Amino acid sequence: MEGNLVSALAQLKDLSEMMVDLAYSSFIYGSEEVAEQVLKMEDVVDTLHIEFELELLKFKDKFKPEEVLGSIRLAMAAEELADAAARIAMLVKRGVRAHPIVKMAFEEADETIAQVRISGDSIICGKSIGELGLEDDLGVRIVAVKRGERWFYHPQDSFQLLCDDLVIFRGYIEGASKFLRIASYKHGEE
Amino acid sequence: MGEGIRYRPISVREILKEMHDTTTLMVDLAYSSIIFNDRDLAEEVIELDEKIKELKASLLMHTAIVIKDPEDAEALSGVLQMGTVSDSISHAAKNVSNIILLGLSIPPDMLAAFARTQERFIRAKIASDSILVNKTVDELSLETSIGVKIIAARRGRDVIINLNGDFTINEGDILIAKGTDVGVLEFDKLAKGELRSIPKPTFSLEEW
Repeated sequence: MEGNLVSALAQLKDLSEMMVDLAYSSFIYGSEEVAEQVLKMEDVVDTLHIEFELELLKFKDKFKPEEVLGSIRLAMAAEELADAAARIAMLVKRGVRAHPIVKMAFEEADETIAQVRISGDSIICGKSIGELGLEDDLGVRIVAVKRGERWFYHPQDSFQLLCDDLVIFRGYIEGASKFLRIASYKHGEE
Repeated sequence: MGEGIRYRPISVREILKEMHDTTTLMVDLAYSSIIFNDRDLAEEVIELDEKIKELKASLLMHTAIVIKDPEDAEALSGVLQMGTVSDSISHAAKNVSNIILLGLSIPPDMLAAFARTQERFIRAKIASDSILVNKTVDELSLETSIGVKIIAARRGRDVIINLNGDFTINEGDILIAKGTDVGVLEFDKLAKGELRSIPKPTFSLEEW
């Protein structure tokens, strides 16, 4: 129904943007588990895309023609983004690793994308995102968290981070490196 | 041959960084152009695509110079692929912007679903009587007062994606900024010279 249309387009947009972040992160860190997830998301996007288009055509009389065409094109652009992300993920799966130069480039980027496994010694374990003031104080936005085999996307402020979570996040250099330092802290290491 | 293509070991890294920053900005601007029905932002995306094309060309040239044997080629294939991927992302962003530029639109209900989480972007040209003229980005610290971050600038033919805090704003600069809905509109007025002082913050930021 129409409600599905609304949420399908929002999901297409969110998923595709998230995939680009995850794909870059998988490439920089050579992490196949993240690349794997990007490829799974690509399947979801493909299905969602077709469902969206069919549903839209079904209800096309409820919209203006320029709205129908506009939304079709927006969904296609999201799919295009998702494809670009999947191509990066495929590279990682095929064993292509980022040249050190790529990693350096990303570390220098103004708004960077990074991933960190939360250390058992970190004070972050058991704290919620809001409590840590990640977004407000550090400007760190968590894109996704992998806990065991489960993935959580765009977790809310109330979401608790646990030891051993794999956290993929975006942030500006200063805040991001501060978060990296705290999250990967191990006793007896400088 | 022009001077711009002379090989410098640092260049490939800088090119990749610029490509990433530019495409990230393009996707943000493209969605913002749709959500806030802002043709100006949509046009900026189209212009930034030119920059991506230039960067991709120099990435090719720079890597071609470095590759001496199959090992180099293997090591650098990932770098070249990143160039291609950036191009695809840029293309997707352009397609999003074209929706607005071609007079198409998205049904309001659908827009509402993704507008919630979106920061607003704006492109503003600095008027001669703007109070921002001759100030550096740091000096203004608009982030703490009106919650707006200036992220890129066009000056003549140059596009600067990651502005340093010591960037001094000139008359005629075209700045791209992001922030809250209210904040970016205040910024627009400051740029046009319609607002003669920087509004005071309504809350204070706590140290982490």
